[in-house]
Amino acid sequence: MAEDMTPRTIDKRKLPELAGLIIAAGHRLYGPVRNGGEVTLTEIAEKPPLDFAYGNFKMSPKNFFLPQSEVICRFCGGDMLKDAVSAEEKKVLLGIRPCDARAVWLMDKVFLEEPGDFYYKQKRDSTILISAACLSPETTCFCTSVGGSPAGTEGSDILLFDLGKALLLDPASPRGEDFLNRFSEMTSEASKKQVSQKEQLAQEAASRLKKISLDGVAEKFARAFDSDLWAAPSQKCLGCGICTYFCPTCHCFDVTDETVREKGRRLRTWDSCMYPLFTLHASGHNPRPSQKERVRQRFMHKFSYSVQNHGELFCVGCGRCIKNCPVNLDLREVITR
Amino acid sequence: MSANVRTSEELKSAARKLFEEGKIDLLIGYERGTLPLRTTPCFITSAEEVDRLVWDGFCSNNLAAYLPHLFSKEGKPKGWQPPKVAIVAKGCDGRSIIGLVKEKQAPRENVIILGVPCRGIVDLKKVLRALDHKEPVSGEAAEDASVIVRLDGGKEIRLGRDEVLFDSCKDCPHPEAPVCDLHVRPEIPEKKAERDFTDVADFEAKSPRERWDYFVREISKCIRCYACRQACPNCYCATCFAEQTQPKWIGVGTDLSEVMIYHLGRIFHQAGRCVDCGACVRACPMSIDLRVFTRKMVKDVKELFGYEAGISVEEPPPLCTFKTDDDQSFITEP
Repeated sequence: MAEDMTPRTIDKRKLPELAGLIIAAGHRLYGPVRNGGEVTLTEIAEKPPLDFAYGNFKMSPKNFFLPQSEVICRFCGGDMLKDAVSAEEKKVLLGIRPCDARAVWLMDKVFLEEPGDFYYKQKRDSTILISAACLSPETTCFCTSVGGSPAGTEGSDILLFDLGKALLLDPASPRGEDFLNRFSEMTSEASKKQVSQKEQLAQEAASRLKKISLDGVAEKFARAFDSDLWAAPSQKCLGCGICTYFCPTCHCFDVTDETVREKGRRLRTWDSCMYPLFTLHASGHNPRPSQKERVRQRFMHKFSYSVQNHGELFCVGCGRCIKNCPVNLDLREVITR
Repeated sequence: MSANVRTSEELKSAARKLFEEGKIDLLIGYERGTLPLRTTPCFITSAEEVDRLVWDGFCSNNLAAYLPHLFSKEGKPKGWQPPKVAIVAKGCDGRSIIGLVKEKQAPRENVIILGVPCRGIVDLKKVLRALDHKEPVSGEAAEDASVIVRLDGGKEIRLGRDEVLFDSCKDCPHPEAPVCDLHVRPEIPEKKAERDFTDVADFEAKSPRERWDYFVREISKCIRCYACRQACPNCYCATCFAEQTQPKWIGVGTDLSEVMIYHLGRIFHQAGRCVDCGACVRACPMSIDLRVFTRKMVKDVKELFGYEAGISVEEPPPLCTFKTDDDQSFITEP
């Protein structure tokens, strides 16, 4: 699909103008904004980003599709009120990394397969993903070990390469091509030299990533349910939700009704398998009574169940769980053990 | 041999001896982490494993946080006996352990406190800031907690102690565990003078309105991952009020009011108990200034009731005592 389309290019100096046109066309534009050392995906009103030389966003873009807290309906007595769900605004996410776009592609398998999740689909359909190829991976990155690549296109509509003075815009989906066509007066066809430069950059980035061997991890974990593999990591795990909340593919949620007399709202919120409440039954019984079962669940879900259910590992190698874990519990150690 | 290596070696011999003499079932300490400038908690159960142990200025976790769970009867089989545990303790960790002993979360006779000479812990966020956010590939901490880091390409940079130390470690009045069973390399350098609480003066000088605004601004960053609670030795409730469902005290969403109630609950439950170890701040992935609030309470408790947490096993905690002349100004003059 993507191979048939011609990459476009734009002089970086023209980026503010392009951003203006995108916003004028009714999209809310989100891009990389530096705040101290951290880069966050922030709404851009005027000054567009020119700098794609960061590692990755502090938080993944998961919140755009599966918000941490979302009202899914309001009710009064037995009546459903119609005011909770409004049409989604059109959004463009500029500069997310291919690993995070791949995570969205993985979440699509969960939320878009029949019957499909209305709330997720609505957000997904109204959002264009422009990924920026990851040219300087961090030490905690391992995307090439889990099926991705620093210039991977899964989930993206357009893949952008920073070529120094210019940006190369490579359409990665029909929607991306359509989007580029709408702004074609701002861009020109990429030269052969630029295309080969892009390929070289992608190769260089991939070669900088350390590969870890995950052959047969799904089968290994499936056999290791009762093994002592989980003892060491669960012993030091504090049981906070950082790894799951920072993970771009963790998608477990809770649904709670909050009511005052007869009026109320139904909330969908992120949940975490690290928490005791995650599997607590109404009876008081908890099938995952200790951190051992909870840690095991997180690894089994990502590296075994997801392979059985969706044919893919549900880890994209972004390294956020490794970077942010307060006790340096390194997922790479557990999956290669 | 550097001072930290010497301490690590002595720690290993002490640990080996404890196992060989059959005095402990488990030792909780630190081993080298998988990332530059990090260590990770390690759980050792035999003399053969003690060589994993390390000690340096990267040993940031407060290991006392693991104790309540180890000694809790919940989920343990009938006839279960509490284990004998040795635990590597900085000054603040040692104070946390004493707090847990006093609150009956750890039997004193089952815990061997291995005091290490701590001169402060390195704040990795400060290191990154000093390096203009370039990731180091390796690094070492000297005994005075100054740091040498190496960048990709081999460039070496030395960062001074004052530049990289955690705020909670600056002018620490208790670098050694006040109650200790075994001192590893006890020749601790000069003891710091009494801490003067100038670091909360700015916060105190604010009007109640401004203080509230500051609180709201900081708490707005919270993602409710509960890392501050989980990293804190004092937070050992079997079910936190924030997660109780019968009755439900607070909502599950990210509305500011819910998040604030969680934090107010957490902070006020620390009154007279917080040892200012900074574990909550270190665990917080959103860089919330959690410490200023608990620090202010540490000051109030010290000034109003003359009590400092985790200094002695015998001294009764202020929340467990009543004197007719107790200062009550904190009620009327917040």
